[in-house]
Amino acid sequence: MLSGAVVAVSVYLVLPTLAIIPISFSDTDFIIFPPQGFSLRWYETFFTQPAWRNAAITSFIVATLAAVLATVLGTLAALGLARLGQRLARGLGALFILPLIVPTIITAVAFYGTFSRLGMVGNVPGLVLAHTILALPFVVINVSAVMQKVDWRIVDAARSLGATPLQAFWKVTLPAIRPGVLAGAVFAFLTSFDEIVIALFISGARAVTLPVQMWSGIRFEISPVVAAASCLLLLMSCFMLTLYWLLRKDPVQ
Amino acid sequence: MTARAGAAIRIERLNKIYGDLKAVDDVSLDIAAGEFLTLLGSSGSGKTTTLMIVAGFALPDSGNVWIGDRPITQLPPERRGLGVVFQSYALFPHLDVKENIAFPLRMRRVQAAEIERKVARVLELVELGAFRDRRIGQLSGGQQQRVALARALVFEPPVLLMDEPLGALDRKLREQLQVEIKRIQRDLGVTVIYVTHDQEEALSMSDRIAIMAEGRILQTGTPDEVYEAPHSAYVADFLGESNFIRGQASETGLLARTDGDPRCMAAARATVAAGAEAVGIVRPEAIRLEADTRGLPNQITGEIELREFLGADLRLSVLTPVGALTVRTPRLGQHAGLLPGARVTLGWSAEDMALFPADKGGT
Ligand SMILES: Nc1ncnc2c1ncn2[C@@H]1O[C@H](COP(=O)(O)OP(=O)(O)OP(=O)(O)O)[C@@H](O)[C@H]1O
Ligand SMILES: [Mg+2]
Repeated sequence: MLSGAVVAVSVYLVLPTLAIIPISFSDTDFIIFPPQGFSLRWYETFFTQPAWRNAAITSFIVATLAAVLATVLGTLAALGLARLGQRLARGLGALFILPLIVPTIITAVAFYGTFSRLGMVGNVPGLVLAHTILALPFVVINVSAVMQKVDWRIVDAARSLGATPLQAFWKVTLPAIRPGVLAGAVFAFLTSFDEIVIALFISGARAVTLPVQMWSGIRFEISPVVAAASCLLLLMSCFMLTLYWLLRKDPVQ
Repeated sequence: MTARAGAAIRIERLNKIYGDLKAVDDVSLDIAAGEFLTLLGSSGSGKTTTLMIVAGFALPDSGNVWIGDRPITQLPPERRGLGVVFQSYALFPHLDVKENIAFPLRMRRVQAAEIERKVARVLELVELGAFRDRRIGQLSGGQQQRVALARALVFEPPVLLMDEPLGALDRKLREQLQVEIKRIQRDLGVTVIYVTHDQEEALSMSDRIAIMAEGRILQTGTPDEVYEAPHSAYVADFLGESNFIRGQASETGLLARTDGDPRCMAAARATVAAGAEAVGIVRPEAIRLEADTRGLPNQITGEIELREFLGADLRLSVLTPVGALTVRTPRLGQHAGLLPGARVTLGWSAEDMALFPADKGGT
């Protein structure tokens, strides 16, 4: 019974995603299902049309910068939270996951209002800042989770063995929380890479990200190039997750 | 590793207050170079806090610590150069055995060849040569403990601080490592402050024991001194097993309370004024049985309630007019045949009964 349910839910979960793949290889000018013919023409379109290519490049730059920024800030925040008193840490911790709870549309409107006045709409820095905030909770949560499992006496041990606080941080603290930092970075990257609501508001005409380009693609052309883009997005996600599993190498193992 | 002299440690009037709790209360200790001193006390008595102040992880509210003639109270831990072994071992999980041990040498920018040599030597010392390239997660508790010890010794510190290093190990391994730690300490001549709440461990390993309770040091002395001549009922109770006989102090000893008339008992060591409430303390192994009691000033009869088998000894619990008394007698001795229900005569000398004020922590 229950195992049947697991299978059913799994199919339900992956079917729409899998449907995209044959469509992206179809030969027709429109999205039809079941797809007809086989060609790579839509992938070719994706990589040759400047609109698509630039969108992919923009997305990649924004996601990388947002991931780096969110990982550094989020890791420092998690380390700082652990040093605060119980109650203060819990209160501030709730603050850090706020971006997960507040509906994205509200965050988007808020960013739009503020950033338009600062001239940060329609450019990469605006997107990076907004996505960093959205991605921060993933880093804080992942790093905090790993920190729970670490015996912090290792930092004292390092100090007693002659390490300065800075050396202890690089040689002991950071390696100990590395799995959480990596996981946070991957999630931060992916959060930014497929984010659309905020991007729709503040990417403007000059900093179009891939999801925004797909959105307009769907509305104006309905061509299978959108399916090809989806597949590449999917591939990117899989690649990042694999990278994470490879890099992780549990230090306790 | 060549024999080298440890350094003397001088701890002067340390105080550490957390909120309204005096975690360390006016603690002073003078530890000779090469001495093995144990801080012994029940949970929460301030042992770890004292050790952490010496290690530099906690700042005292007042007081000072010297290593040799160098004041270290204000130095950060990395500049104290002391070896520290933690109860949780605190090994670095991302490094293998040899890199864990090499860590303090790398911090001191020792040359690679020298590191190689020193790590090999200390691994030999703790008998872990074959485990050089293992990850920490692949070691047993006892092996991890040895790595922690090796790591704390490899840079040849004059002082080794150990906080319940064997607390997480089973009894057999604990005893084996006690012997090993003692051997290494003697060979190297390093001064050790050792923290434990295990009295047997303290008695077997230490040159001197400092017994702590509620942040204070109650008594300092060699294992024999603190066991034979406790300064208080608390110490007597904490170290080994004791019988407590309650009553009033008299000129010659104790008027022990019973259901009926008090009984007069002779006690040699008394720190109580006649007439005050007092407790007399007798060790279970000091109590003689039956014919052996002839001529002893303190004699009492009772009924055996319980007979426990402890290996080399038998423990008898005897119900007497002054309360239940515990007696230890050799398993192979002449009294081994005594069984529950039997009436026996117990006796002990005046020298074997110490008298203390009743209010001071007697259980
Ligand atoms: N950082 C701290 N903040 C507040 N109180 C503390 C702190 N560290 C220790 N204490 C308190 O100080 C007292 C002494 O603690 P300490 O850890 O020194 O005891 P201990 O003798 O090592 O006990 P155990 O055998 O359980 O390890 C305890 O009551 C403890 O709760
Ligand atoms: Mg402790």
